[in-house]
Amino acid sequence: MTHAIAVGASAPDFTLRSLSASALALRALRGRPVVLAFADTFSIGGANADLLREIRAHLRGLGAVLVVLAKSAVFYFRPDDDVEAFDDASPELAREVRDIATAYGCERAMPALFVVDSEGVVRFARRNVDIQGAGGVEGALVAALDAAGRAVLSPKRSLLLTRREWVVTGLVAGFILAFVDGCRDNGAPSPMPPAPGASAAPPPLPAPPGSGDIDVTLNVNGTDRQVRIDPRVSLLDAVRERLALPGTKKGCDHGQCGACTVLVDGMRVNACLTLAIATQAPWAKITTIEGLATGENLHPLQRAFIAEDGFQCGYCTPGQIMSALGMLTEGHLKNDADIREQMSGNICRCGAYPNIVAAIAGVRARKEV
Amino acid sequence: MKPFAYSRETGLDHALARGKEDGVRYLAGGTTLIDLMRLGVEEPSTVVDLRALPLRDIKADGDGVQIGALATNTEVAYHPLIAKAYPVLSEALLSGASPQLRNMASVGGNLLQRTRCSYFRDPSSPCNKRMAGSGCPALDGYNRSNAILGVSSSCIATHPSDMAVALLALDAVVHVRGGGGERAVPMGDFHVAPGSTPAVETALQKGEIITHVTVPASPFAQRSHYVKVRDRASYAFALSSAAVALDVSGGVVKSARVVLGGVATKPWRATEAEAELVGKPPTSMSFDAAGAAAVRGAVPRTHNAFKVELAKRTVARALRDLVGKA
Amino acid sequence: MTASSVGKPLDRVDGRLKVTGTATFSAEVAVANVAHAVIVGATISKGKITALDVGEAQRVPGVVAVLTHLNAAKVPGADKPTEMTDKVVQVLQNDAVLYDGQPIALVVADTLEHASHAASLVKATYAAEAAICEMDKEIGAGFAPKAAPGRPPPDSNRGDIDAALATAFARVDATYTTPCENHNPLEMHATIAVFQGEDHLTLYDATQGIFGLRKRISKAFDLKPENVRVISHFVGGGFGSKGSAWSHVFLAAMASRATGRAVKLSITRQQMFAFVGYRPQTIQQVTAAASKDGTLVALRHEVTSATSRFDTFAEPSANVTRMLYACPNVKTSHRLVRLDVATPTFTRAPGEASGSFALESALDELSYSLKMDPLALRLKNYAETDPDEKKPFSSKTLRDCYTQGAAKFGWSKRKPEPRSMRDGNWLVGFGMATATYPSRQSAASALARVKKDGSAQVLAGSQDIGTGTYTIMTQIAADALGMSVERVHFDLGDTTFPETPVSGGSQTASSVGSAVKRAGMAVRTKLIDLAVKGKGGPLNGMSAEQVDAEAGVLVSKQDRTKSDSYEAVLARNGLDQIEEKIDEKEKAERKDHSTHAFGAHFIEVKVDPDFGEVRVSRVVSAFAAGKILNRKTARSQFIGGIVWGLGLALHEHTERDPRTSRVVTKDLADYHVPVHADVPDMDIVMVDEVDPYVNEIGAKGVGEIGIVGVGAAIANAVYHATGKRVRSLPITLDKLL
Ligand SMILES: Cc1cc2nc3c(=O)[nH]c(=O)nc-3n(C[C@H](O)[C@H](O)[C@H](O)COP(=O)(O)OP(=O)(O)OC[C@H]3O[C@@H](n4cnc5c(N)ncnc54)[C@H](O)[C@@H]3O)c2cc1C
Ligand code: SF4
Ligand code: FES
Ligand code: FES
Repeated sequence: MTHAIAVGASAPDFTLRSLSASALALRALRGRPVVLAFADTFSIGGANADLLREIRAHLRGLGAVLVVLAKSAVFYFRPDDDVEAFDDASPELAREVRDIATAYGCERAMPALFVVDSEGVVRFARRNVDIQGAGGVEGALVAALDAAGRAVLSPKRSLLLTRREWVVTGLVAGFILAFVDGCRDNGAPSPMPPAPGASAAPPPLPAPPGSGDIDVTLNVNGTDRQVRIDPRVSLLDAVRERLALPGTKKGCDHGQCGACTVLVDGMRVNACLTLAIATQAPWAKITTIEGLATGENLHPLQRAFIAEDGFQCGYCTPGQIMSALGMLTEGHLKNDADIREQMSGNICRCGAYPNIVAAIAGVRARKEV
Repeated sequence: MKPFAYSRETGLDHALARGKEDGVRYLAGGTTLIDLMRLGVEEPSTVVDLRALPLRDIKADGDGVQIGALATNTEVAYHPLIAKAYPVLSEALLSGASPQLRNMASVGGNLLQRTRCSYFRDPSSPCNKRMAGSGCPALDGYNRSNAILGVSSSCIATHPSDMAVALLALDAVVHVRGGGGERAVPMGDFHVAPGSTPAVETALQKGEIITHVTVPASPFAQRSHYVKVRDRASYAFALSSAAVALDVSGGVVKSARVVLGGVATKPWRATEAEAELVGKPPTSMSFDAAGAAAVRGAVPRTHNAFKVELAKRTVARALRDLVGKA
Repeated sequence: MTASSVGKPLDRVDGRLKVTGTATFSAEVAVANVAHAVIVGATISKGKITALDVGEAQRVPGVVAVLTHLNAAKVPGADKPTEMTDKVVQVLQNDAVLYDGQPIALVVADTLEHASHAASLVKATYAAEAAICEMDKEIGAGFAPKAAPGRPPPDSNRGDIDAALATAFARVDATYTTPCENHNPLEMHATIAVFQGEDHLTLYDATQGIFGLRKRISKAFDLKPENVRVISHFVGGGFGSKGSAWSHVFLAAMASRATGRAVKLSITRQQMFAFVGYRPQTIQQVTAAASKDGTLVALRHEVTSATSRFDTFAEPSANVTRMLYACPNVKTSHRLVRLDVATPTFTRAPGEASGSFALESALDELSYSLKMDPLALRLKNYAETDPDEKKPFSSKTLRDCYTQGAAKFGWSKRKPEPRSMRDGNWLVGFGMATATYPSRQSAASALARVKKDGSAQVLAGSQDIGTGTYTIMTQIAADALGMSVERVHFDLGDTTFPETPVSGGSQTASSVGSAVKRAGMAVRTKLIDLAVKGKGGPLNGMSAEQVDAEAGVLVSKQDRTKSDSYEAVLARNGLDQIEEKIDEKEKAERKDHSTHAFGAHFIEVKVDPDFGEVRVSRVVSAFAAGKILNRKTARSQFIGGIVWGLGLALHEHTERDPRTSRVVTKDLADYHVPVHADVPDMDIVMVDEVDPYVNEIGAKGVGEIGIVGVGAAIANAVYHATGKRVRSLPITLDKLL
């Protein structure tokens, strides 16, 4: 008999006994949040590197581990370790998984995803996750993780907090709204008592007209990318924080170090002092360090930096390389001796300067740029 | 950074109309504005991006040259009309900031860049320029980079521009447009010393836009030179700089320009130094005399007293190099 | 073992990641829905917070929490350091303000923009008290620091300095000062804290010491150490500032616990001047005296350095004076004065960098009094054994550094008179100085594993702060395993890996390298054992000594046609892998030796006679640092150290407003570090040196010695060029006008 496990209910315990290597028990994972995903089939082969990265990012965001229960295999994901796969498909495993799915009321509603907090309480439940248009089961899993993250984490108050911490953060406001918000599409919410001293969120500050988040398109490394940003977002923060292109570095945020150097329409600029909104497509084309190599083929400057050891910690390196590229293509470099002056907008605190200059001079001599 | 609305204008009149509103700041390269907004020194509620305005040309203007306000520092510095005919301007620009910043920075923005006084850049510190009447901690605090010329008891902030020093030496004129139409402001009148109102830095009125700068042909433009002295070999503001230009004929200086940077509250034309030069042969002796004259009236403080001697030598050296170069 | 990788100039194994922007630094670890935290700093240097208005900040959309001392959780032990690297931290525990920029609130929001803006709206009201930051005025209140366990005592005295001074022919008495310098690694300190439930915490942190951090944080948050995981795969420079757990790490963890979210906290460049340490100012009095032939008869070195009111860190500047020269009468001391400032900490070659400026400048001054070549003076007083510890050196090849360096530089072309050399308008000067740095070793562990596909995985906690740890460990492991570097994957930066020490004190190569080597050897021994004693195979029945390993293949030394690959050995014996974990201790022979690396710098400067601008035009530096593990990355370390020395000599100083004790020069436009245009190409000589005692791998560490002596070498060159002796760093142009 199927009964849907509701948000707020205790997550049914289970132990997978049929796994040859070691038994996997929900209770043993208690103490940290666990995401349980059920699917008819799941294969890690379908999870490419990007997908894996996304899953890990979500697990970090939730502070959780993930157990994927499929009839043919079980997978245990932790954010910073290799995935453990128990894929010796056996009739016993299939039966065990079916029984657990029944306990969670989703044996006919797969894929399904549940977030269980550290005390074993279900905080998020979604059944019949759409796999059409989500890139198969694996894609659907990421989408569901995303939904779970938004529901339990945003905007004011994490539902994964356990009671002790509610007290500690008594001055944090606005969690009730979040709670209701987060649970709207998840069946019956089970309200938590408000923390002492907590109050409803005060009204937000009035913002100047037109200053809300805006959808813009940035043409980065030849690809149009959509981002929803507030006009304050620098080009640097846009690529690092919103476009998952953290190759461009922040060393000062004030134009004083060059770590953020990117090319805008082929000219090197400091991305920290550039508003992303002002470099949107079609006004500008942006090139970052991630756009230099073609597939496995490194750009000549990248090769030269490796060969000459033009770095130590590597933090200034993307900026140095982009600046060198700009310098060589902008056409104002007089001679090798001039490289030092023309590269002086890029600080290397590790002091790799002589090697950086050697790398650039080599590329120049070989006319590779 | 405080939230703001962003708009990009493609027509000058539209931009000027926006500029009348309260809390509006124009945006060009952003290397001053965004920097100061992130520090909380500038807090506009609207940023009007000027970069789509057709104000970027650099072209001949009679015997002189006209430089669009949005031309970048790089474009100006390397432009054939400038590099040959106005070496001091090209040299000054290339001694400033970094190649990246010069690719962003515009001529208009450069003229309007604000002081690097550390107290000014820290909103948690008092500062008469930022907050009238709050006091000037630089007077008796750490003032190594501050000014010795054009100072007042309200403010001793150095004007940091290299380009403006050269433009003043070249008798350039700043052209602005506002509600009341066009105005032409000679460089000598464009920047103002702090006096008792350090917040007022230029002759620009609210909402006005710099459209271009004209640099006339002059007998001394081509024989001009910029020397900048700083704490490291590159990517540093001037501790002292000098833009000099000489018109020498028949072995005698007919006219001269001596403008100091890095030591004054505005680009500082040293007319007394020029007077020392005119009518005399260009010799080391008169150069030293010009240097001495240039710093007459300087007001040194605890950490910047060295600038008196340094500025003196900068002027003499710039002149020596200039004559040596020719 | 024939083909050896150690010593070769192998390209960095992490080079590709670094040049493509795919090396993941701490703030770049992908975390969905991460909250951003921004620290609000105090704007006074001493006093109490009387009111904190966070209302406006809380009303900023997207703000999740504003933590202050009024609502933050208690963190026991925040003010109780237990380890050498521990610092007293200020993590919203009370209303006291102890220094400028001290954290007084933390804003957590959905975006960085919201958090930063809200942070700017937190309004604090203070009851401020007078704050003191002028060290020279406090020098009378100097006190002797307590000797740290296992560290040299603050004072030393050998011989009879007063008697010796009475007989001296020439003598220099001078006071040298060095300013406050901030490390300013290019990557700002950053932490992503993820509490998983109540009892598990993962920190992605830019740190030089993952295990030290784990210890400090697990104690403070009352967590089991094994439940705290610190991950740090790439660190954008540290130089000492990332060797301790500073306030922001605690704050990030507190915020994660309080909000139940993953929290990212990357401090600002301005905050890099506030609460993550610095090299303290020093005032150093040196007396150096010699007999007529240049024999040193007396050295006195009295150091006072500044520290905070609440923590004790002494810059050990005089230690170098105790051991560098064969001088019978040496007296040194260290004193501290307390100021209303943040706590200083270890900075690249702590003590040696600042102390050698004083000592090696004084020797230069003495050489002029003696009319003796500065290099000859050093050679005259060459210490064959450690005069302080009274032990032989495990190895010392300094004499070769002097001679090879001098020859390459053309030291003999130096005209003895100051201001006697010119290049056009520029004044030219030559300067030299000796470099030395102790070669340390700490306990470290490592694990090596050969897998059935014939590849190897080698793990050690450790860190790579740009020093090349990934690369040299790969090389050491490959040689020990008898494999080619391509088949060896070395990983670090995770507290789930075997425990290792902090990357500081130039000890990573020696400590971790020794463990990695022994772990690799142990696995190889096991493999050989299996091949000769296990199931079948071409080598079965031979003795282990008859078998060699090369590129992952075992071969018979007698008959090289007989070979057995690692894959085959494992497969035949039905094994998935073979692994060994080694816990390596300090090498026993170290106790009977003094262990130091040595070097000599020869530097040419050009000084503008009008402006006093100094340009370093040539550098030849020779080092003897035991086994050089990788000539390419070692050269980079030396160069990097010298660039730091150049900054120390000419550019770097953090200034405070004497009336408020607040930092005035708190960004990279006001705090100058060398740029490309300041740095010439350099000629680095690596003198061969075999050291059987210093540690298992014979390497002495190359991270810090590069900076030692550069300050003096440049100051000495400036004197030679101009005739002006500058005893107060940095040598900014105003001091030469
Ligand atoms: C790290 C660093 C180092 C630097 N070093 C130097 C140096 O060594 N020497 C030097 O001279 N400079 C230096 N600069 C300053 C730099 O030159 C200026 O920031 C730049 O020139 C400003 O131009 P912008 O176009 O970026 O101005 P923006 O920041 O866009 O604008 C500056 C101001 O001018 C206004 N404005 C801009 N254009 C117009 C216009 N057409 N009409 C009306 N108002 C306008 C804006 O509203 C704003 O208030 C440095 C800057 C940085 C960040
Ligand atoms: S000098 Fe001027 S800008 Fe600086 S603190 Fe004083 S008033 Fe402010
Ligand atoms: S981060 Fe942009 S210049 Fe430093
Ligand atoms: S490699 Fe570390 S800052 Fe350049």
